[in-house]
Amino acid sequence: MHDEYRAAQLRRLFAEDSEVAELGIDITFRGTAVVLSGDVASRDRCLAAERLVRQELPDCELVNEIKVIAAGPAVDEEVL
Amino acid sequence: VIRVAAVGDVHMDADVVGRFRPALDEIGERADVLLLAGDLTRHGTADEATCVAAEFGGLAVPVLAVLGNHDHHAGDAAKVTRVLEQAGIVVLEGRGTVVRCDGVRLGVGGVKGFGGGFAGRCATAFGEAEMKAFVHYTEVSAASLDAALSGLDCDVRVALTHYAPVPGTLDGEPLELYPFLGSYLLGQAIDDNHVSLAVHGHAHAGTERAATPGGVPVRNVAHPVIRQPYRVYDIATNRQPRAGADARAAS
Repeated sequence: MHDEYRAAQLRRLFAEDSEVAELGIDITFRGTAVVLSGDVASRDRCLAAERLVRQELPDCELVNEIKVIAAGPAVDEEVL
Repeated sequence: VIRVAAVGDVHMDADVVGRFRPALDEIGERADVLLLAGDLTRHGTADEATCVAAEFGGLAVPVLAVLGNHDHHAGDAAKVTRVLEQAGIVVLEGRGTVVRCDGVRLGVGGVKGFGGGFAGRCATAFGEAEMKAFVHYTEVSAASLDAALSGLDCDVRVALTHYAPVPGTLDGEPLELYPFLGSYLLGQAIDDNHVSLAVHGHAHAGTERAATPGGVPVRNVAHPVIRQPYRVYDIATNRQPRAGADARAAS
C-alpha cells in the first residue's frame, strides 16, 4: 500500500477508534519511519495513538512527536 | 466593561479532570461569564459529561455552553446536555440567554453550527440527497442562530458557536478542511444581529483572531489555539455595534 493511503487510513482510525478519538494528529512517513505529530490533552492520549500505530504498522519504526498541551494559568486579556 | 471568558475543545474525560480547575477557581476575579465553545467531551458520553460538570460546574460566574461534534459522537447529546444543565451549565442550541453583569444585560446566542464552507467556495444544495441534507443542516443551524440572536433583549450581544463563522480564524488549517470547519452562513447571522463578539472552537490548528465581513471580532478559543485555561475579552458596554449590523437594522 502506498504511504499516502496508509497515512489516510491511520488518520481516519485516530478519529474513529474509541481509545483515541483524536482528529488533530498528523501522520507522515520519513523513509522507513512513521512520524506522529500534533497536540493532545494528556499523556494517556498520546500513548493511545502510539499503541494504535504499533498495532496497525507493527513493522514500522515509530517516531512519536505528539505534544501534551499544558492547561497552564490564565495569562492575559484582550480589550476589544 | 463586560469581561467574557471563553474556551473550547477541552475534550474532558477522567484522565484530564482537574487540569483547568485551579484557574477556574479564580475566574470570578477575572471575568463576568464563561463561555464553552463545544467539544467539551471526547465521545459525547454521559460519563464524560460528568467530568465536564465536575470541572466547569459550581464556578463563581455563569457558565454558558454549546456542544461540539465530539459531544454528538455517541448519539447521546440530550443526555450530555442534561448532565451539564444539572451542574448549572446552560447549554445553548439555537437559543439565547441573558446574563446580568454589573447592571448590564449580556445576551448570548448559541448554536453548535456545522460545516459547508465559506462564501464563494461553499457547498450547495444540489445533486445527491446526501449533499442537500448536509447543506440543509447548516442552513437550519444558521437560521436558528439568527433567531437566537435577534430574539435577545440585551445591551451587549455575543454569538457562541463550535464551528467557525469565518475563514480568518482557520488560518493554519489545511485549506481542504475548511468546508468541514465552518460556514459563512453563521457569519452572516452574526453580521445581521448587532453582535459585539463571536466566539468559536473546533479548529485546533487555526488562529485566534479574525473578523466577519461586517467587522465583528471573531475569536477561535479552541484550547490548542489559546493554550491557556480560558481567554478573557473585555467588551466596552458603551460600544456601538459594527457597521454590518447597523446596515441591516436600517434596511
